Amino acid sequence: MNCISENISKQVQVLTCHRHRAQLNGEVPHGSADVTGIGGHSCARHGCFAPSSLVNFQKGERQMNMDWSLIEALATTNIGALIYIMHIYDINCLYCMYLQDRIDRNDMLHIAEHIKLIHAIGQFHVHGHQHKCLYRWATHYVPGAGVVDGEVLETLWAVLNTVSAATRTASLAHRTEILDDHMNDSNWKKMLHIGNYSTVSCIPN
Amino acid sequence: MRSFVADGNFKAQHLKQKSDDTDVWLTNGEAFMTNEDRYQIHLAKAAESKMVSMS
Repeated sequence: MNCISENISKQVQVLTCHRHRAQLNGEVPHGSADVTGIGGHSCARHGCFAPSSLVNFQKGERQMNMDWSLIEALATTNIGALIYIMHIYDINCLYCMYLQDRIDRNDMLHIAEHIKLIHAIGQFHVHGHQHKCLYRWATHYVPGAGVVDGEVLETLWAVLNTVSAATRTASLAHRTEILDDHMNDSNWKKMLHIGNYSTVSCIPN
Repeated sequence: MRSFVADGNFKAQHLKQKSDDTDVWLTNGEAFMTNEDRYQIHLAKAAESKMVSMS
């Protein structure tokens, strides 16, 4: 325990898995760009963007960026009295280790006390991890997870990428409006057409 | 169980603009992009832990 508390005070985290790209690029600033990318949260089942959870990256995908996104997603999606919330993230084996510590240290981060986060890694990304991570973190092995791949945001990015290229040289405010608009459109169309894919409508008459 | 997916996207870059100070903001955290003011306060306070390898 001593080595853990020492490491917390020094803000050092021991790598217990591969050096993933998201971790590797964390501290690399980018010369000509003031925003190097975006990160966010969405519902794992339906793939709807969580309001207010899309954050800009300044130096790559840092833990502090995703911390804020997670806290905002939990605050804006009617969690209410729900206790167990599953959180699926590409590098959760490293990310969730000191998550509670980072929340406790920062008075801008609030999470309701009754919420218990269950961490998992998506079915695609988990195979880029060490072998032990598959059984520890893959959603297939999380009791109560249902059948989710945990990669739905990749499909949402694919659509968003067609428009985000056009926002590279827009003003920051205009870029925000365009991205907001297209994410809103994605959620809206999903709500309109989700009935076509429900179990009931798939049963032939 | 309510489930969330988190992910980053490096295609949505933004290049520094000369006229960013004359930018007109219509929203600030009301839709999907987060509230920039509170986010920047958080980033200024947050400390990133340094990764060291096990060996």
